[in-house]
Amino acid sequence: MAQATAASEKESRASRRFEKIQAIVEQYGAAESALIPILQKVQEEYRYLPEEILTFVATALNLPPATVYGVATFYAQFSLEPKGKYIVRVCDGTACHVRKNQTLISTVKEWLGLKEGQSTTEDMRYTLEIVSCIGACALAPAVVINGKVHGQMTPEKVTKALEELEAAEKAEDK
Amino acid sequence: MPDEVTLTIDGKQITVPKGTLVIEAAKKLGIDIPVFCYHTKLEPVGACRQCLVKIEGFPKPQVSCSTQVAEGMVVHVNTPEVKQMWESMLEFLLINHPLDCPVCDRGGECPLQDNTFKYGPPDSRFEHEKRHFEKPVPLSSLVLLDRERCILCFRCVRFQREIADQPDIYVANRGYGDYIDIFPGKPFESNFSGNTIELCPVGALLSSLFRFRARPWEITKTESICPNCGVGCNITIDDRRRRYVVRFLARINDEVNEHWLCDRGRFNSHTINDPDRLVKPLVRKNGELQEATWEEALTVALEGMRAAGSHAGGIGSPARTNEANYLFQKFMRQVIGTNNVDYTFEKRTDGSTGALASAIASVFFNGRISDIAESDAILCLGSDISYDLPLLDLWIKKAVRKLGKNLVFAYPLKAELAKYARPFLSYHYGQEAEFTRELASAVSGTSWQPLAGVRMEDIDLASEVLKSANYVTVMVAKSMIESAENGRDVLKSLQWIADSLKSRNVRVQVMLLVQGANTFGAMDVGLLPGYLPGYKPADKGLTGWEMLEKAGSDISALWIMGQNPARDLFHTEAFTAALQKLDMLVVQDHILTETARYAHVVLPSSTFAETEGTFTNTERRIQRINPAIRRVGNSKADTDIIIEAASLAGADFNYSKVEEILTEISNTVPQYQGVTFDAIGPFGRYLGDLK
Repeated sequence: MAQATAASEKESRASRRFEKIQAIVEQYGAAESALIPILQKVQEEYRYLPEEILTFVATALNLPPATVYGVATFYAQFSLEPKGKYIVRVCDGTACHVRKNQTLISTVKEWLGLKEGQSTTEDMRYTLEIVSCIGACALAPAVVINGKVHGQMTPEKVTKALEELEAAEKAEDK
Repeated sequence: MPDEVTLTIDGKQITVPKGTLVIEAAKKLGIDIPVFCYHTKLEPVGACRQCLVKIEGFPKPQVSCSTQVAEGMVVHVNTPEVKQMWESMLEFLLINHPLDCPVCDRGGECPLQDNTFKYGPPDSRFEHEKRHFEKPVPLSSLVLLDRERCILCFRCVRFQREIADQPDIYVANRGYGDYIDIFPGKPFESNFSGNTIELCPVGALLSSLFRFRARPWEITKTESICPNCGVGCNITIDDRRRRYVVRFLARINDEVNEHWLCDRGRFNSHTINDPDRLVKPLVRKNGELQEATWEEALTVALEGMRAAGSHAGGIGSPARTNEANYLFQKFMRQVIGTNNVDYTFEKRTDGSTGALASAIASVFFNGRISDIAESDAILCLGSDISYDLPLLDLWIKKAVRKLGKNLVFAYPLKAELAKYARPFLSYHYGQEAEFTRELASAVSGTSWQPLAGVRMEDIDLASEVLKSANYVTVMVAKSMIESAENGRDVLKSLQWIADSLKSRNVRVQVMLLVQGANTFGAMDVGLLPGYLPGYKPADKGLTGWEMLEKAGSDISALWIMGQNPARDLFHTEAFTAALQKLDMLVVQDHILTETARYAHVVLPSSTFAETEGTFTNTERRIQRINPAIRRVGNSKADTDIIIEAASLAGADFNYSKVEEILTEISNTVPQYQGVTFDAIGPFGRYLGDLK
């Protein structure tokens, strides 16, 4: 009995989940050309693209799942891994690189306690992304925290910015 | 002429049609340009950049595989500058290629290896650690991917997208991070996945069945025909030391299979190498099958068969050669003295075989596979082609997707081809005759009522599609005529459709879709109850189905060549019971099949890979099969077994070569007139238009 309840609850949760996706698909229309906007909206909703949702989108758009996967992996804006609430992007363009962005990367990694190969903290709060040129070369080295560009960064300045974020987060928690 | 352009390549002038690619024009002049991503049957993509040439007026080198010719174009290929570019491109490709040729399946037949040898740099300047990935990655149970070796030509992805339209594999990621992948948890299960292995210009895609089984230079290649369905795809049998068949590869025949094979055919080499192949004749003594000499086995078999006389029967096989089937029916009729001969034990409706035989004899079925893509409309009736005759599925997809032709697809279930159809007609099972009559009425403009479950407007649309075409291909499954209730009426309706279309000046070709590699041949050479070779009427005999039905009463002895009724999909129990009622069951096969277990005499025969002979495919093209490996143990070719049995019985079966049997067939069967091994040639000979 308990099992059946659990199963039906799981099912209804799943259908509720796809309801949202269905609404997104309807908003853009189930055409192949709408694939990218749909994926963008899904990513906005979930902060990443869950596998079963890619299958759902593929079926809804009458596309082979492999094609959808190809698009999803092609663009850097899409992530197949869950991402944190705050996204810290360190620019690794040529200008930032020569202005020693590597020290920024190692500072952020250390501050967030990220292990080798890990990009999102275990509490799902922060994600570190190392991106190619963001076009703010005059401000090199640049770091983008939650969409806000911080120019001419130093390890001290980036630590300070992260600490401020953490403080704001804690205040919000209370 | 406005549709032609003249250009100069390496100082030589050539005139080619507009739209020709530079590389194709160069090929016509015999100028070799190295390629990886380019393939004649795939759309150009320009991914590998290997085929760079210098074209005057362009500041930079151009890829010859995706540049179209233009009037007055001047191309330079064999210049030091171009050679330098080729060398540099190869150096680029080799930066990330592991060069593990000594353990690579492709080593020895690898385009990357060959081009490097011909055009590549003598040395590498790359001194760093190469990329490493986990390998091999199984994309399916049959196809493995070695990501390190992949040079990203995308031939595999393009084949699946353009030709097979089953894009289960795709390019993941971007730029330097590109790799071929499947959707997580959804294996690469296309019917045609094996072609990607053959297309791969490096050892990145591997066959799990061939991997580490042989090196290309110790392989012997034999030209043959795939025995698995009625298409008759041209293959090469690759074997090691004339003993082990290691793989089948596609042999290019642009009129049958182009460059492709289906997975069912390609990966079906295991029964040849079966460790349990029969090596000696077996005779039942004291209830047990025991090894015996050929003479002993054949004597016992002959005694039993001849004792039964006209109560004996013989069932040959649609997967055996014309020569074997011809001799088999001759042996049954002349030596055993029975009219009960057939090539199948399928249930057929009354009179359908006769109707079909006279339609074949009057050359009603004159369709050619290569004309599928030429016709404007294809009417496909009663066959799930994608499963029954997979290569024809590719022809239809090409016609519909690439050439914009119309498909009218009629089948009770929503088979794969239904999505290409306009319209798809899903008639009710068992109402084939009603359905075809409705269609024929619509085409001829006679009034009719919808009875078979298809909407009137769909039938009207189908008839409009057919009537507005200039050239129509009609493809009909043999089972729709022979197994369906009132199958004779199906044939009549088809003739009606063809006549109505012809009277509107529509060209029509009709193809009979048969499932066996040599079903057509078996019928042609007279392995049919009531018909002698060439469909000459003979005394009535029982069909295979009736022989099994009457086993123990009217039939007391059966000789079954190359068939396994005891493992029939639908009638296993009934057939097994029937086989046990026989006084004498002779089974001629290469392994101890379920049927052979009930036999009194088992005669070990050769597989197609050890046999010389001919198959006649679904379009009635006669093609040659050749022996690749040595005979296993004391097994013998079907023809030799029958010749030996006949001479033991004192009959005059005097053939010293297989070709002599073919000569006799060509003298007896009108459509086979003039057919010899030489006349058939490497690509077969189409017989449908011979009178």
